[in-house]
Amino acid sequence: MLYELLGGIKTLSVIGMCKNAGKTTVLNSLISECENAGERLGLTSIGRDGERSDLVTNTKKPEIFIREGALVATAEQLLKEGDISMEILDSTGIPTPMGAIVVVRARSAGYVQLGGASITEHQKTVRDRLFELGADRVLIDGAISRKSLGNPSLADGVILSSGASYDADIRKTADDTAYFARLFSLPAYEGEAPDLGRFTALTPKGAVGGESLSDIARDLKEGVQTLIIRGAFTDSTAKELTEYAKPLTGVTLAAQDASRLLLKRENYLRLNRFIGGFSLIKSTRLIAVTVNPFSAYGMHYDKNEFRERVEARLRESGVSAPVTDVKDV
Amino acid sequence: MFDKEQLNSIGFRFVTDRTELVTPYGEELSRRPHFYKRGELDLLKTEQHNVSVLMDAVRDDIAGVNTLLRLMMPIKDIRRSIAALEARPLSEVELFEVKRFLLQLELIAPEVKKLGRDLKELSITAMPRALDLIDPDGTRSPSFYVSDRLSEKLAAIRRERRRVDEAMRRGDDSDETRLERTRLAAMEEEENARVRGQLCERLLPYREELLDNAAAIGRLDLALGRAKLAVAYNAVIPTVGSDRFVMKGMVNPKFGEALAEKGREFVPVSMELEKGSVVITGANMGGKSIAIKTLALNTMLAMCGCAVFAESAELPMIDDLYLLSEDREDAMSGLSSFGGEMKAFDAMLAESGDKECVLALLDEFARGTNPHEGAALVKAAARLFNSRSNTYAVLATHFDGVAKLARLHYQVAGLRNAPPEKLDLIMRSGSVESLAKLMDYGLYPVAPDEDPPRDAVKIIKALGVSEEFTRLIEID
Repeated sequence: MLYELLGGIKTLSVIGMCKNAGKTTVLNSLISECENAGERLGLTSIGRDGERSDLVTNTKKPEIFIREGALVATAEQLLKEGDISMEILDSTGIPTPMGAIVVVRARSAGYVQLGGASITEHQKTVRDRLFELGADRVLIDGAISRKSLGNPSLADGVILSSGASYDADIRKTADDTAYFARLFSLPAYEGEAPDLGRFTALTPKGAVGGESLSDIARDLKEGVQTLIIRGAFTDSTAKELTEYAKPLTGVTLAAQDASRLLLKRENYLRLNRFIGGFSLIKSTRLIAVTVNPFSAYGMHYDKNEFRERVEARLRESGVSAPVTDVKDV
Repeated sequence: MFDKEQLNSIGFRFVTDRTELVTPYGEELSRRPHFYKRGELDLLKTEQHNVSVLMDAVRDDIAGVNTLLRLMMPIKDIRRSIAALEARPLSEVELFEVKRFLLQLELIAPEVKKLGRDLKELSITAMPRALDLIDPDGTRSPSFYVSDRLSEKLAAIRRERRRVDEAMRRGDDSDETRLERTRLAAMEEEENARVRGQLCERLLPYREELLDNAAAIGRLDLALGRAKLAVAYNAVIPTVGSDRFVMKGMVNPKFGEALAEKGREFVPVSMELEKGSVVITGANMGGKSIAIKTLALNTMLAMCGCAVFAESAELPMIDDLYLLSEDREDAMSGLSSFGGEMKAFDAMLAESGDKECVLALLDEFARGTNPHEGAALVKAAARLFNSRSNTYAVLATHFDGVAKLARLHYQVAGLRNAPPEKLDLIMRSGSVESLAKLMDYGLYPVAPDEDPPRDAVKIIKALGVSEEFTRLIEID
């Protein structure tokens, strides 16, 4: 049922907010639907910190199941964790803690373990290689992290998976899910985006920039339409912006992409009260939000309550993506 | 030989960084360049010959060269896999890389023949029999799959597996079917490993030939990289093994680039050396150090079989090079600079004593002590080198009286020939850049009794250093 939502999305990233959010269920369901539709899939993952220790200590069986013909880009040492019969198509030389990324074609159905590159440029190379080798669509197993949002600039569509394992408090989980969903659905910034440093302000007199806001404090007073912020947008960035609340009232803030927005929800909301809104130079489309009421730690949520809460929070945040229970995908 | 810091300071590192390589074998050779030893002159000449042949190819057929480089690019380092052939079955990824290597050999070998018919001891040979083993279906496709053709048993397991996969695809989700799938996958893996082991055994006789080809590709890659750089910089192949040491019109790309960024040009340096001491004198900021480093760079390059950045070069076989300058690693760590320098000098004397032919470069030797003793130290060093028949020594100094002891004396002209009215103008503007433009960085042979130029005060004035200070200098 997620398949119908994919439309023209060529590269889709499934991002989990926590472990046991049901990301694998979502991926397997998508894989099966795409394959039933006759698509040749390319699959990869994006590297994550601590991947190695995670995989060594937790020798869980791989759970991604693919059919014959699918292309897989993964770390060399993870190949033996799976059980497909495989044809090696490429060894990219792109390093990961689990060996270089190789691209294989499944010559039988079977399980695979996905591991990926951690540098954006490498991730793009791997994605492009999958397309070159014949993939119709690429699915990315996104990172699990509370802090960052994986790498949306890699994909043109995102599915966000949330679950009861995120926090014992259903309200906190619903709020944060809606917040992340909001970040992924921020509008695209359409104007010119000159790069004059960490901060570039577009004023009626032209673009001015600097490494800190104090560099351009005087220009800000002249009236700013848009403020472009490059690099990480953190809580301390938010604090710095708040000091210039007056000249920045009603101004559009443009960040590079959703993965650069690393600020706490409270700070996002505080900023949102006086600025004109956030936008992204590289935006992605939020396809759907999936919810898993079962917690790995035993604190399950009520199935309907969880979905309805998330739906309500999304509506309040102006996010229109559908919410699906992972059991129903 | 030079330490890392020195290789960097003389511009050798700059040259290796600018040498474009496309294979891991070439990169490895470039990281650890071979310095040809006495008795290896023939090998050095072979390398020079190959670089020269490839320089012609770069000039006459750049399209052919680029084709060859493109074909070399997919080459991976397969040496570890080759070494493991005997010990264990290679993984599918390793076999993929070996196959890819063999496929590229087929393509590279004829291109090399076309391009460098005259290359010596650098043959790359296609290995069709080894390729047939790894590609029994003869598809020559750039992927690797353990072929059904290699084992009837493997083919049978795969047929069975396909049947089960198909049943599952149609919705058979029973535990028996799942178990059967897992069982077949394990059987396939086992048979697959056995077949790979067998394949590796069959590849074993080709081990040496594979390694020879890998080594040849590395040498070809390096020689091509060197040839491309040589053509780009108009470098020439030096005559090594001569009984003369004559370097004409040398340049140093590292300093050349730094100067070009400031809109200036590197003034070529020419030097003839004789056994014993050659002395360079000249103004501060006049380029004595750069002359020494340029000589060090080009001698080093020549001994590695590379082209040199010069109009022409003729030099003997050098067993070792020494450079005493501020750029030594030990000069930067602990030990007072004077103490460190004297220890390094002593080590150099001890080490070079029984070598047949060495080049010793001393930049501002004893700079850290008073001019009276300093001059005495440099003179003593000059005398010492004069007494050694195995040493070409070059001493850059601004102490008086050293040049008299030199076999040959060179001088950087500095501001000597600068028109006084222009100098005057600059002295009022205090611009380092304009001063540099007025400096004559050329190195000229002069009489042994010619004293070093007295430019220090002129330079201080031109730099616009505190007037109070400048006035006080003149009192003295």
